[in-house]
Amino acid sequence: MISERLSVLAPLAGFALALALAAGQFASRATDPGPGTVSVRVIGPADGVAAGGDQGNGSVDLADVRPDGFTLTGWADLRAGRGLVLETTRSGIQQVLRLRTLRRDDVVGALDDPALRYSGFSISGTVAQLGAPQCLLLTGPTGTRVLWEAPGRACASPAVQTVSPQS
Amino acid sequence: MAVMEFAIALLGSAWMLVVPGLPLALLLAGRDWSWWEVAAVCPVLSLGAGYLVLDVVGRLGLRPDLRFYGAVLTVVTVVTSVAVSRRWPSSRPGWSPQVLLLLFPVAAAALVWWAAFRGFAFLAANQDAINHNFWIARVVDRSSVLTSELRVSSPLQGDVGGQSFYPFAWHASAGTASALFGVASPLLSIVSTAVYWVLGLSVGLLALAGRVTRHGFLTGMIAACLAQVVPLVPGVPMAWGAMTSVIGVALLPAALLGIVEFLERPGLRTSALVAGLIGSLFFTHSPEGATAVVLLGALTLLRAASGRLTRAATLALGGLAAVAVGSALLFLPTLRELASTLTTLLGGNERTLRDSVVTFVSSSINVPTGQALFGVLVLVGAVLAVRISRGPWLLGSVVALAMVYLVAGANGEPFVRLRPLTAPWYGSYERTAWVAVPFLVLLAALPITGLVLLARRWQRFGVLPLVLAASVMAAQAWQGGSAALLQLRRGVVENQVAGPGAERVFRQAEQLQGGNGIILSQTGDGSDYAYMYEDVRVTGGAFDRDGASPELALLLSRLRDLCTLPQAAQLLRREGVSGFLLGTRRIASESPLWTDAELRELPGTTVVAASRDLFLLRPALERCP
Repeated sequence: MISERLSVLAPLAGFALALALAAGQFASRATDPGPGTVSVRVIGPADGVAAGGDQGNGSVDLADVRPDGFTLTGWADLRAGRGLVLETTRSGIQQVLRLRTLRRDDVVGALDDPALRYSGFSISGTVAQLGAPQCLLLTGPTGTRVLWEAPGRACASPAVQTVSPQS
Repeated sequence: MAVMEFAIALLGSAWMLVVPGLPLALLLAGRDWSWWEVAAVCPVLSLGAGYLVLDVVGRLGLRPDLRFYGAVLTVVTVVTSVAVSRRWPSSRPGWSPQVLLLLFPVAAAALVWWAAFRGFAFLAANQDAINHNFWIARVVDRSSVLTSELRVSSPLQGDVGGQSFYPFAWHASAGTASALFGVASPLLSIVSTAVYWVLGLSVGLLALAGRVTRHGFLTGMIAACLAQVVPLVPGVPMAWGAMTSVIGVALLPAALLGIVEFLERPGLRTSALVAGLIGSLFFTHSPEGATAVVLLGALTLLRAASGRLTRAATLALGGLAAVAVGSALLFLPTLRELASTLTTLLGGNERTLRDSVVTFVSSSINVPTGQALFGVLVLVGAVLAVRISRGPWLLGSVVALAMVYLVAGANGEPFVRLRPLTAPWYGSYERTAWVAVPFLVLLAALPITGLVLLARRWQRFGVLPLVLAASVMAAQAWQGGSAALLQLRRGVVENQVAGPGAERVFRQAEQLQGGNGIILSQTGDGSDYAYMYEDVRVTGGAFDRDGASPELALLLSRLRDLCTLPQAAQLLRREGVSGFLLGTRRIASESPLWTDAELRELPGTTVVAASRDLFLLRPALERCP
């Protein structure tokens, strides 16, 4: 017969032992985060609104990425929640980056949707704030392009179409 | 950080849990409440009551010495608690040796936080911590919790912070404790955050489990341990120093306890209890206040649907709604301000409804590794909750919070149309997810509780479920603990500004500033911490005692040209600038203004002290070529 005391202590002891092992292993190795990859994903046409008034929901019009800072400018239907997404293995990206909304009358005109008047965005930051990534990728329906890569790192792969950041 | 300093910070944090809420908790407790339940609601009421007192005192124009005020508050708390507890029935369950089991979650938390901060200053990561620590230091400095005096840019500024509401309850309590115990606010803030997370949350879970599950103590204790290894919280908010988020989440079980008490026993006492708890949460961190309102609304609907909403409860709810609407009118300017920021909210992150559900139940949002085991435990717990929980409270709460998450995090119709309703959580899917963590860990504890019960029942083969229970706990400790450690550590590594070695620089700055001198500094580089640790009069931009200063602005903009700026010596003397405290890292999205090499060789200055991120310089124009 297992006593009540043992039945409580056994799971708690198992928990404590495993956590102590995890903490010990964590403390004994270099724990600073390693390099990661950041991907900027836009679901919708990546060619902007001029292409036939396609009912898309966003595009990155300008991606200016340099070693000391980057700015992504474009528009996104943020109402629908399908606009701009920064994917990262890092934490707190939403809070790290500065997002400004901009007036985009051209988007309103092209899509005939007054609710998109302030759908423009400008996101800026430094690459380091994304958690020292090795690659910054922009993923859209037409493929993925490398916006920036760390020195000595080749982010392009057969599945990745590489273009220059200013394209 | 000296051991004694840390011990005093712990004492100050314990003070924050109890003063002045204890007599209120005793007064509002039901006659059959256990000490766990009293201890659970006490920290929430302490924050709310302490804030209201200082707010009213401030509005009356009084600025009491916080050490004196804190001492008086302590005496009043002790005397009234003794008086109120004498009226308690002697049959009330007392403390038992079981309380020692709290050492398990406490040890788990100590291990996680120690390992995460090892080698760094025990200082919450920025970007947000700099605001919170600054506000606490201002509370101490000004003996006030009024927004006009706290929400300013520079330590040298007066009351120009405007009138809009900001939840300063924790800052008020931490400021008072900081003054009373003589602990620097940045140390007290992070220690108290950890104490709320481990003690406030654990006691809250034990009390809530006792009310909403059938094997309360066992389930509550398992949940308290599991809560220490969920990487989503405190890991993600602490990655940028959102300490009030962590505290708000830690206090949610107590809020649900009060809501259940109110719905089961509607009346004046329970109305006051639920109003006090929800109000205190709003004053501490508004998203968790909104979460409590959602829980109250959802569980009321559930009660009504089952035909068990009494007339008394309906009347009491009407009263609470009237108070809530009246209070909301007081905060109209702030609500308008909040509404205007809605356009800057980023959209949801989830691709499909299924993704949303998976990430919600496993609390795997922006964390290093997916928490599959935790998710499975939650799902099994949800099934078991139907059988071994008391009433629909737990499951009803989780479903209600899942709906809020789906609105904030999903991307399809019909939820996206409701997204503006998530404004109280800043439209952030993370925030709507982490408020559910205390209730998800209770669900996750149910399967393990079930295994323990099987072990007790199966006489000969009882060891099998017991080994399984211990294995599951160990596996979750490993998977969740590793991710929680990594997540907390990331915040420190990436976002700790004014990191290792900074305190020594601050002490030097305090010596350098002299009698009436000021230290010229910029914003967002961690130099403000000199004010928080050592009361150094840093300018935090181009501010002097009279407000914005064109002279200091000129000096700041021409620091690289001190030797060629014709009136440099005159400006420095006239403005009383004793030195410069400049940083090589900046918070948020700002680019660093200085490099290490630049500051070491800045013409017209000499280095007094330096740390990883900060340089203390003094003017040395005589060294100009």
